[in-house]
Amino acid sequence: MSIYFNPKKRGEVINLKVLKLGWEFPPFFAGGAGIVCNELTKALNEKNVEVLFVMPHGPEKEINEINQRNSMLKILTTDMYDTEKIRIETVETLLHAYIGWEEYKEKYDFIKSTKKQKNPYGKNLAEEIERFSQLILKIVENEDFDVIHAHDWVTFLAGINLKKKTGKPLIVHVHITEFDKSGGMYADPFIYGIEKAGMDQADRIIAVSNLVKDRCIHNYYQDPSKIRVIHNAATPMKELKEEIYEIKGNDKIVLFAGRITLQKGPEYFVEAARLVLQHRQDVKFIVAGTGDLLPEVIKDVESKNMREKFIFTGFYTRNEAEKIFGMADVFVMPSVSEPFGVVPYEAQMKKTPCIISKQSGISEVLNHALKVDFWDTRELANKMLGLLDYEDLHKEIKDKGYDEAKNASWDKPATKCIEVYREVAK
Amino acid sequence: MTKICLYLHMHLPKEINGFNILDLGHHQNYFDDHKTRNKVLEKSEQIKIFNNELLKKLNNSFKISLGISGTSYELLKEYDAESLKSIQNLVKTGFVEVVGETYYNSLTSIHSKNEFLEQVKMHKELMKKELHYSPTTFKNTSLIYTKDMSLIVQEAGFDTILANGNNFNMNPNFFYRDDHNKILVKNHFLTDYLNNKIYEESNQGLLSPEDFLEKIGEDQKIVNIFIDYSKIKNVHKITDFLIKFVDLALEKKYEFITPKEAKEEITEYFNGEFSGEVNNIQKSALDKLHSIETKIKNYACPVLLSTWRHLTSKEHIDLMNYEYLRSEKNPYDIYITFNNILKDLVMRTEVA
Repeated sequence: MSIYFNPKKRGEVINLKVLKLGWEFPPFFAGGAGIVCNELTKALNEKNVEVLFVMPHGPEKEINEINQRNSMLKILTTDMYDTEKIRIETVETLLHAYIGWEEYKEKYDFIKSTKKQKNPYGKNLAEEIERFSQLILKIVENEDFDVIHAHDWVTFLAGINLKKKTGKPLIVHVHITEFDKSGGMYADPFIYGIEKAGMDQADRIIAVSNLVKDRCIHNYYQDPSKIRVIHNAATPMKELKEEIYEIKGNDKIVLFAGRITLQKGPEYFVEAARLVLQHRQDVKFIVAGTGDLLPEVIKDVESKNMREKFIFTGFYTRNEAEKIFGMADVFVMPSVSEPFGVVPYEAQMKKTPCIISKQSGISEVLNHALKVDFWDTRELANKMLGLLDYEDLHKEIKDKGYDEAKNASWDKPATKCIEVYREVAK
Repeated sequence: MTKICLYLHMHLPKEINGFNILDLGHHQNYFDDHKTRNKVLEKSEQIKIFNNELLKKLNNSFKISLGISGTSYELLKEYDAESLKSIQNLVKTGFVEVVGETYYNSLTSIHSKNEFLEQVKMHKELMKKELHYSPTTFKNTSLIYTKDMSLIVQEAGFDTILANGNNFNMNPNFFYRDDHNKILVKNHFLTDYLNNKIYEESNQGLLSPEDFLEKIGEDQKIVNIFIDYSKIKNVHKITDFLIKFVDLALEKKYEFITPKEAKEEITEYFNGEFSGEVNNIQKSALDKLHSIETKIKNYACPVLLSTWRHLTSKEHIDLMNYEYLRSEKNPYDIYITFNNILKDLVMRTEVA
């Protein structure tokens, strides 16, 4: 065990070495697990915690392709962390956070179709999870660590195996459960099984919100006393430049950004838009992102005769996101079930007032945003109009929200994580 | 020996309903009558018990002062006339000084001098008509005090003001005056003590009447203790405490006086304005409320004017305090509702 001592930090001594099974910064601007891993690791590092970070690493070709598609986007590589307290080991796999069966199959088939390289990957999601877990065991064979901190169910099996082999305590970090992906209705049995095994075997469960904690208790039958709620924080962003956007004209812009899936509640956004347009016409609605519900949402917009009022951006990059948030007057996150939902913080950073669903984890910590039940489209419309009609309110929530996001630093969750490490470290 | 001035105040506002902007122009009731009624009944029951106990106690050596807003008077009349009678009975004894205020417990002294004067007069007339009393002591909403307000109050026929002196490090136990009125300052320490301890349900940390009297002290000029009826949680406890305290004070030769009896002993000049603090959305809401005042008054419809005036009750603005951001009632939501209502109100003046 190594002991680090940094006199700048009030002589704090932290003698902890954490094996983190996590995720790289996601190449697509979606999903929080990668962001959380990245920010949390940086913050832990600031606090002198030694981290051995094992992350999945896709095949080079695929990564290059992504990089070419979008020059502004860079996939983080090991050299991003220039510090002796963080070491990164990568595992070559087709897995990524939030992956499902179909998505895996698509990726697998793509790799198979190229035929140019050897294909070591599992034939399906289950096989790949198993292979991934075995690879990790091999990689950390000769490593020394005090706790295992596994993020998202994809790493849970590896976590369980590691705990069995080394006897070290296991902490599973739950960013989302399978139930959230279906709006709380059902869960894939295979994934549920791994999620539950991970939680059962874990010495501590970190939930990103009370909402997730409740799911762990009620859907996974976990003992509340071993669950710790650690809310995510905000990711610092570039300062906003004032720009003039052509599509905006004299109109106000209300934005939906995220995956167009059942979980995110895009249909409630569309219905609220219809109600808003009954009240004032100088409003445009942007739906940014893509997902399985996109065709349905477009059909819905057309049937409500709002084609001219809607802009669908499709897939967007991080750079485009900056612009979209920059031009929006209101950002809406009407999620049906959102374990945390970090995007409102990004909107706040871009000085865009937010309306968020009460069924989101972030609503437990966000003060300077309007909150609404996702199903209450009349109230959602009322609040959209409130922000569009009442300038004083818009300005106040913009300013206060910006300060709020600025103050939500990762230092706090990192401190709480260390507390959890200390609870279980032997 | 110290003079004790007890002032009891009662204000119950009309509770605002949610108002969705999509209902603009659909003749919605802005006030939640059901909720208002329940709140009034919850309080009026306690008011009755309290007043009836007080009634037994009042005599020439134990006098009190009392203020009831026009809104509460209306609401009690509508929902619980018996509790109103208990107030009338108190006043009939002749040992109660009725104190004037704005009819709607509003912040108009800061935002509209005309409206302020009108609400002061409305309240004065109500007291004359209903309680046969013409108040000469004035208490502004939240004990707000400004020099301008003092002048208006004097012109409206008052000569004494109850004020807040806490913000200026003034000794509250002195007699004060400004160029227009005599001023009595609330004793924050003792008043807050009563608010925080006696009004709690539990008996923990409660001072005995003896200890409380000791805190008042024997050699103060005057101690002004203000009690808010609407905060009473356990009426039996407070009446029990109060009666024991009064008996003990009288036995020890303390003197109970009302504000107008404090006439002869003015010594210090009162300088310090207190206009209350508001956050940005509260300020914005108040600005909007008064920006439509002329429009509403020019329309000259008594119902609309009365509705607008009920909206001036300070409680609606209080709900926009950021302290409540973590509570069920979100201040931003209240702000939107309030503005939607104002918008609807203006619309009603435009559609004939």
